[in-house]
Amino acid sequence: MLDKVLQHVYFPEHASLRSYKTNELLSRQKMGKYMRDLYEAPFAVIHRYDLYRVLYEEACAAGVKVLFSHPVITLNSAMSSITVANGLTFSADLIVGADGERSVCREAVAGRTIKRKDSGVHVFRFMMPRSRIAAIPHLRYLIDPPCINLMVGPGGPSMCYCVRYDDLFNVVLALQHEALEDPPMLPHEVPLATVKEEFEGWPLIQELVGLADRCIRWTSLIDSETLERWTSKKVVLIGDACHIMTPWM
Amino acid sequence: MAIEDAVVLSTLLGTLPIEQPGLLERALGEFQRIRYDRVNFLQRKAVTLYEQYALSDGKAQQERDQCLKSENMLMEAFHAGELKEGLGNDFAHNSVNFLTDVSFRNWVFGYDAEAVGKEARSNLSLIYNKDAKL
Repeated sequence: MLDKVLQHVYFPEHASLRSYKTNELLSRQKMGKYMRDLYEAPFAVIHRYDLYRVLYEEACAAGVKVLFSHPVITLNSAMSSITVANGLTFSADLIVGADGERSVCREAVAGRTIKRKDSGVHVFRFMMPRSRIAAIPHLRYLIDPPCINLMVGPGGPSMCYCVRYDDLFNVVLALQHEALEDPPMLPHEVPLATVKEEFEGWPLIQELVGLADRCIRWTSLIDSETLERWTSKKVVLIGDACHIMTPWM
Repeated sequence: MAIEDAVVLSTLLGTLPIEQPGLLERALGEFQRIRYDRVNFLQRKAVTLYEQYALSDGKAQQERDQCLKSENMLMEAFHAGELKEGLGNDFAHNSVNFLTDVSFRNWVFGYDAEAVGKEARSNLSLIYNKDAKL
């Protein structure tokens, strides 16, 4: 599967930390061949659509039956079957709960409601054609050579890098806020003017927002308590369902 | 980490005869035991890194930036072959730029999820065979 995945990736030559105010280089790690030789594996960046599509195609080829738009509503009390939104029930020898940060399976395994709470950080994201950056000489350092840039500054890092998918340039911004009791559970669009306001004092971000078409925002969630058990007789949780990660690495 | 989970779990279960009473439950417990500390450590590390990234202008921020720049100078010297022998290359220990922290990087990228899963499966097979004899 790796060869198929690698057809869709970007190989950054370096990962650089910069100051938010001046873009001064603070630290640069060589990536590319250096990392590939060290760990006998490439360090690559991929758009999740491409990764999911390769995984999906491989799963189908292996005989997996994938049903879209069948959200899991409950695990039954003996936890050997699930019920989906349209009422269908599926029983199984093993249930793998990989249902992410709003996992239904997690609560069934824990036997109680385990709230995910606001980490106090909003994440903004916008993308644009890479060519838009390439057209501006003083911004070309962000894409040439292929690289990852992370700006450190008050309230959280901003990161930018390219993805192969549609030849896009991706910008992700973090911003602290007063933790909300009921954080929004899904990403939503925010006005670019708001983003500009929130990142006053970040000159590079001001310029990049000025080049963007639209921006979405979501709230990074964390566990309100540690989940002690990830498993029961026939159920196992994996991924964000049992260990939600903040996106800082 | 989710990909690691998937590789460890699928390799661990592999061809285990899960119809054997109790074996699946024990295998799933093994999965959690293997993964738990690793992912919890990474969760905490990510939060620590964020706190360092997000510093407001001030003394701590200046110290962070100075530290990063010093590490960077050493790294450039290292790559240019200018460092004296014996210094090793783990001079960005606990760095805010985690990709430069050699021991942490080795811990993250040096993990062989398949090997871990296989070892766990092999151990479980021993237990299963032992039970079967009883």
